[in-house]
Amino acid sequence: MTVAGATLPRAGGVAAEARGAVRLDRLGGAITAIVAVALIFEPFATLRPNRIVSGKGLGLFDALPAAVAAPGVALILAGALIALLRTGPRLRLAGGAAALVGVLVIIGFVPAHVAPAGNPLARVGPGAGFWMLGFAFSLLVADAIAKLELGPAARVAALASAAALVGAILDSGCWSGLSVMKEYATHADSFWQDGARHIELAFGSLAAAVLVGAPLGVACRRSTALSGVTLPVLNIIQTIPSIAMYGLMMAPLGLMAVRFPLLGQLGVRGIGAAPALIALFLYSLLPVAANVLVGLQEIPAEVVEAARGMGMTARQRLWRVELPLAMPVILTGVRIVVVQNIGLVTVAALIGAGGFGEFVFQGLGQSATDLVLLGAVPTVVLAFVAAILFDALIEFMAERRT
Amino acid sequence: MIEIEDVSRYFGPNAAVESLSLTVERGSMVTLVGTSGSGKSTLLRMINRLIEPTSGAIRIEGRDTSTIPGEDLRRGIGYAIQGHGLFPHWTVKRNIATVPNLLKWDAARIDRRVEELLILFGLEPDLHAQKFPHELSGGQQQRVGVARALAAEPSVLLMDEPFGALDPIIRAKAREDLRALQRRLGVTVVLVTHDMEEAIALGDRMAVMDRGRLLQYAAPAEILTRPAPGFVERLVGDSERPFRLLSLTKVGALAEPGEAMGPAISEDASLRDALSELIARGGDSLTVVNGEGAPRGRVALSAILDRAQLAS
Repeated sequence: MTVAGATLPRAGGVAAEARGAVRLDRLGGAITAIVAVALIFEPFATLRPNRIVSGKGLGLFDALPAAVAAPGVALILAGALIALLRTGPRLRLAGGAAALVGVLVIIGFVPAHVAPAGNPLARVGPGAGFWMLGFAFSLLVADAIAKLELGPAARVAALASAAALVGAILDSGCWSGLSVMKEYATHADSFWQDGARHIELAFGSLAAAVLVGAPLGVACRRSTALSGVTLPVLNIIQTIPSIAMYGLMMAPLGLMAVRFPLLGQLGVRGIGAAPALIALFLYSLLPVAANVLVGLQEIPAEVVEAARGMGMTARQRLWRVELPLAMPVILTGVRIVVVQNIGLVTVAALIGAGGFGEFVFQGLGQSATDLVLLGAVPTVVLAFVAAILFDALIEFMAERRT
Repeated sequence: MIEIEDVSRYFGPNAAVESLSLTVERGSMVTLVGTSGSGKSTLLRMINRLIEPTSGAIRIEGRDTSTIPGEDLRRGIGYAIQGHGLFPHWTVKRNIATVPNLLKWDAARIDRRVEELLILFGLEPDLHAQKFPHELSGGQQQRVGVARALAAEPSVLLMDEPFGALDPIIRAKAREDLRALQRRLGVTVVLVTHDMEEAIALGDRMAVMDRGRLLQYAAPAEILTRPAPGFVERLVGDSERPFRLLSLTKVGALAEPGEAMGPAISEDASLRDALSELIARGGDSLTVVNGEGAPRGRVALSAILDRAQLAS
């Protein structure tokens, strides 16, 4: 879409210029439409008497004092205008980022303005309008970054500055009146514990999958008989729904813990982290093993031939030539596993494994949307950050040789 | 010296190479020529045991290769292949140092050797040592491939269609360079090619193979003048044959005393060059000069044509 928008209308664009017409950006049109709907029809924030009842929506000017709303809306409209016109990617990035920061900051002013004084139970949260504005300007920023064709280092730097910005907003206390942050305040201890557990489960199962899956992939490369058996089995494992998989783990692990008390003492039980780790490990095996196999298969035949002809042993070929050359493909598999695991760990909270899923399921149980968000938003952020970091790493490795 | 004695290689019931014997003299260059599927690459790869012979023996400098572990054997033999096979994730320097590294040479010795080879192959060390293969031209990549094969100073160099990926103009230059280099280093070279021209131009002797068998093994001039009946005859017996024959002989060999009216030609040029010069200029003789430009006599059109007759 971005490419088409940038190149296709060029022939017509000359004529349009000749007529002195304003040239519009296609994606910008969509962004502007979303912004318009968000500003006019959707509530910017919601006010609820307490954390579980549904509340009423507030438009941007109702939710904010005029002194905040006016500059906020100005930023938003400026961002939309930059999106709508054919502007350079740098300006689009700046405009999109400024509008996004504006939206993120002004939502923090809502609670003080609308919450009835002396009512600690009242909850102010972002409304549909806030989310739509956030989505629209994220789209603008992402599109501008894609058009700038930033290298891996620059993308990581962009991610770091975005993280620093969000960190600064959190640190300033700007959002502390918002309902999600109130949920955070009551769950602060377990939030970081569960966050650590979430990362442990996702990356622990990944590490185990690499330790087993990588040798498996190498072995599959050497023996078609082995790959003919292994890959279909791993494929079938992938199709088992995660909840069913966690359920399937419970009975055998529970029995084992009873049978072998030592295992029980090590923390192996039918519920908790052990079945979650094993299930995630099984899910991770296919992407790791299959990508190792494909990565090795894609190495040019004459490179392997040359390595043999130079007198490298099988082990030297594998470590010095084959694995380094297959690394970008292998890392692509690892990236799939990381993002997939970060999502799947959420479900593992159902069998008591912990992680951000705890808040999601607690929130569902209490119909407390804010608590669901407290679990869901960090999960999404975690997956997003991991994806960007891995993409940058893969590109960095591939860049050096092509 | 490479002695190949009654070597066969079967893939299942099919013979890729069948009871073949061949001796390559030390310091000479032998070309293996044949169509694809003739077994020439299989034969080459049996010399460094990338493929194990089913039966027979191969000796290098008198040592039976089957008594040496495969990896050790290959580290002692240079190996260059079509499409160079350079390791794309390593710099030029590290590529060239592949075998010295496997042999655990010390760093200073490797540095010296890499620099020496880069200069020998016309690559400026400061400019090229730290480049990656994809940053080089096709001709440069090919030269680095040969430099890598020669890095550990092997006495034997095996080459499988080393110029196959080059365009025709660079290929001719690469052939000349290889010939000069081989003479200079005195390395024994076995080179596989499907290109008659290349086999004739490079080989001290050429081995013509078909369906796993050695049909004729002789100097190029002999193969052109007295081809074995059947396949070899058909292979060399096309309209190019007189020209190929002429390309093997230098002008100096046919120089006779006397003055010529025609333009000068170096005594080191081939008769083929002399003939095309005569066709281009008209006339019936050329003045032969030596390297310093001093006259050495004349070469007559009739003598050149007589020589070409030998082929038909």
